[in-house]
Amino acid sequence: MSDRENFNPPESAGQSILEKIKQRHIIPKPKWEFLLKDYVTWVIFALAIIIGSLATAVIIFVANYTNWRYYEPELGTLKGLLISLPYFWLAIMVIFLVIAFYNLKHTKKGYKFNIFLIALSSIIISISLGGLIYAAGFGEKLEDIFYRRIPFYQQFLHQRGRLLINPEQGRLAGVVIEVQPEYITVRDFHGQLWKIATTTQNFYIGNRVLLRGKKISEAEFTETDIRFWISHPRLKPPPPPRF
Amino acid sequence: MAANQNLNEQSDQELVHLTLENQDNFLYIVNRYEKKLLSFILRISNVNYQDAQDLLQEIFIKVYQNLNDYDPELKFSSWIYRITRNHVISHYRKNKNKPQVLPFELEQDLFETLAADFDLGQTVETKLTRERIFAALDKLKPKYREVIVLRYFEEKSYDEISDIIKKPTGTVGTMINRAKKQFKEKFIY
Repeated sequence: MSDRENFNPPESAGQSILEKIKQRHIIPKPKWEFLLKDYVTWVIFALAIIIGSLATAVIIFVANYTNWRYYEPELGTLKGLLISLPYFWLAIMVIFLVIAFYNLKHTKKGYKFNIFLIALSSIIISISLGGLIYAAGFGEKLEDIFYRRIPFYQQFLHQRGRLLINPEQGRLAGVVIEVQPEYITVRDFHGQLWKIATTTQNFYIGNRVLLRGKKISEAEFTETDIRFWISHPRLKPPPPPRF
Repeated sequence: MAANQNLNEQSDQELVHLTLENQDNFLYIVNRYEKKLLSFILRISNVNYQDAQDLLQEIFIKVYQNLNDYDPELKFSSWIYRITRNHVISHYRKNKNKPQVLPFELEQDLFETLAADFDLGQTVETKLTRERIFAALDKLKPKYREVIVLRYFEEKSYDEISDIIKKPTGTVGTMINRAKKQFKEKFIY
């Protein structure tokens, strides 16, 4: 008779288990431990959805207010788009969607839901909430705060901005650091200062701008056209960024 | 004696409640499930009888420690099978043993249910042997073998299997269908 045929445990199995429990002073873990674990999972899920939604709000803002077609004739549509895509925010959105998905799946009853349904609902919640946050103006505020206060984010944007610069071909991209009645000073994304004669009053210190014009000297540029790279139409002029 | 009889008639949920009040009552849960769980362990793992008993002890201790985690909305049997399955998987990962279907005896009614449900038809009557069934099961991927064991050997419903392996009921249905299809292929070739 094989082991598998003999399913009858010895009579003492239950008693011996109980004795072990008593000898080792094993007690049931308190209920609050399990409840806490479940609550933490839900809280992480909620936080992940909120952060993912904030990232979505910024993505909507950047998609609406990035002038990615400005250099289209010189760079082509694809390159212009690839340089301007909000990778940072897309990465944040994806990471926190994955965290939200993982946590929802690991709630007590999360396994009952279809994986695709969970993924789809996480995406829909993030986009809907992100749309509301954007409509309330928080998308641009958050982007602005990150640009001014998070050096990594600033450097990340500047690195991509450098791909737009070519003064010899009449293209400049940088940040307005001084505004005077007859000229503005722009620090390009390589860090070089340019004095640009213009009478436009539409720009403020801290604006990220794209220029088309002609290089006059190593520090001077005449603009024929100047636009925002990413504009914040609803924001007051920010203080100058820290380099 | 009358008290023992009374406790033996209690529902699982009630026994959990009573065990939390008095640990001696855990004996009734152990007695109710030890045979079922021992056979389940042996069916989904390749451990020998002694090791299966040791695993069973560890599982019951784990069950006792986690009694407060039991959600009465779930069938207690699903919950205890889930703990058993997870513990066996952990044991397998630690020991790197390859799970296999085991050569236990297949009862006649179970044998007939399998043959009918797997739509093996005439082949069953003429060629099918218990050894061939086990050989085919042995060749299945562990995840498919597991659902076959739960469905046909432990006679669990789709909802119960869903609660045990923590997959949606629809996924369980798909897995069982694939398992049956694979089984037929392995059985034929």
